[in-house]
Amino acid sequence: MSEVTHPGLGSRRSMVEQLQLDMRLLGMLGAFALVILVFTVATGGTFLTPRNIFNITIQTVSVAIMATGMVFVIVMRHIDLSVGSLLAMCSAVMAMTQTQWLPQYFGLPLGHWAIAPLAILAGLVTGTAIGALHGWLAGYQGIPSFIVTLGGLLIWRNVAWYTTRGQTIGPLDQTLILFGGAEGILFPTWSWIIGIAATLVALWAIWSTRKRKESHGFPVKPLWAEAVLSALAAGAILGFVAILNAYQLPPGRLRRMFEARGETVPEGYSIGHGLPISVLLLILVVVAMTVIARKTRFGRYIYATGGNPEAAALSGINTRWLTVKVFALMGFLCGLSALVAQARLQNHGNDIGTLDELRVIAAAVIGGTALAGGVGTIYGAILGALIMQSLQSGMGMVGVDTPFQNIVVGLVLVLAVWIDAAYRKRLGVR
Amino acid sequence: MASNDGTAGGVVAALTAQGLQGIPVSGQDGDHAALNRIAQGTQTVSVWKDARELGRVAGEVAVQLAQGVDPASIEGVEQFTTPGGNTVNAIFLDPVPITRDNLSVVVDAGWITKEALCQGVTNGPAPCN
Repeated sequence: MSEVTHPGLGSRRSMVEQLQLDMRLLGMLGAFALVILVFTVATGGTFLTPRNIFNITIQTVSVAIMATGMVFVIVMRHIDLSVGSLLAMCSAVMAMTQTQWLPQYFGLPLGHWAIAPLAILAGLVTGTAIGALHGWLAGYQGIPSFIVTLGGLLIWRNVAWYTTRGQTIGPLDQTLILFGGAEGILFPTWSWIIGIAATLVALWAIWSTRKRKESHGFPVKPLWAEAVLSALAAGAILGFVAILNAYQLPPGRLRRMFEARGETVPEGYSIGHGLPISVLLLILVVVAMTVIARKTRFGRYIYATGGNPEAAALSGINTRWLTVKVFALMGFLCGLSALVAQARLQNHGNDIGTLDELRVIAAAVIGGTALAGGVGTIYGAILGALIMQSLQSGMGMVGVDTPFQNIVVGLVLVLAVWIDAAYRKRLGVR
Repeated sequence: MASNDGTAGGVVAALTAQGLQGIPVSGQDGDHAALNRIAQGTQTVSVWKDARELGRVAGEVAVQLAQGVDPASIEGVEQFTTPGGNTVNAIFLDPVPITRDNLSVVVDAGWITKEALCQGVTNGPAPCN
């Protein structure tokens, strides 16, 4: 598993550089394992119960989706401070579309099947359009993205406020709520099917990468290393599915589920949650964004521009248009996160997504994205988001006071970048 | 006991995930979404302080104060001793606890429409039946 961070230099990547990337991933995994270990001991094992793992997973999704987009933005040497507000804006549009605009102006009765897809579409279009506007201002008009999105941070939250008149909007469409996590679950059978399919795809990806490298005469890892890697990937995917399947539906929820169908729960009946739809959505986003980053021209241009904007522009990349596209993609992902966030809370609240910009940027940076540009991975950002959410959730469980929780998260952010900077310096790389 | 209806909404969502919706949850503010939850039976009570009434009284008092009326002689003023031991002039309005038994109050006062209150409610408490 080597990571292309300097497109065009692939064939001349040194051993040190290859080692460095693997070491970074190992370092992040180590930090994650440490967080899990500490909280497992501190909570007497409760931290690692299937129920808590399920909860942390669904709490991470919204920030993680946006963090994948933030990687591209930061790699391009830009920043987006408006993602939390943009999420609120998209959420407001989605909430108003489904509860008021469609029923009042288009005559669709509440509960109509078309309401959820139309509301989601409205939110995604809003996010993409606003993102594109930010990108145009930063790319074509030369306003620093820090300023454009700092303005956006204020503007969009308050446009959202004005749109909903500050009210909590709910109840939301029942189909739409399925994207929130606990309400929309796939149950064990489908979770296994998806898990096994994902495992096969992962194994195929590892082996086809090896084959392609061999065919071009590139050095490949020893066979045993690939085998270990494959086993780890398969174990991680299937283990994750097994844990989510092990979290049984609470009796009260089971009873209501059967009552809704006019039945009673059979004696001794029990069923696991399985994969939530929101997590499946995140996995699809991660796969899509990783493919964009590594396999597409769009992705290569982003990393090339981030590595050296002048060189990229001189070699014929339209970096301005690229900026618009990257910010539009960020906006689209904010819309997707808005869907997950409002469905999880089952309402659109006026303060939805507050401070999410900091969580998203922190997740990307803890995950190894360099603010200097040109370097950053999607899986790193996901790990960063998981580390942050685990920290927050674990401290909540242990009973750490809220101010200390935020202080610790702040310290971890600075510490992560410090260690990374020291490490790069020692290796003499950027 | 949630400090406001927004928090109460989050509590209800979390309880629903555990199949525990229906256990007593209190909120505050008379949010439309919260009143709908009361009609649905997932929230027990919200405290409604009619902002229009608050605004009206505040405006009237301001006008009288501007005209030089003695604060202590304004109609409805009582003496209130703060926790810090100071005595201040105060006018008290009654906050209204809204439960499934008096949901008609908010509709009759024009705070929320019956459609918004009763959205998704079948065979609920008055006026949603």
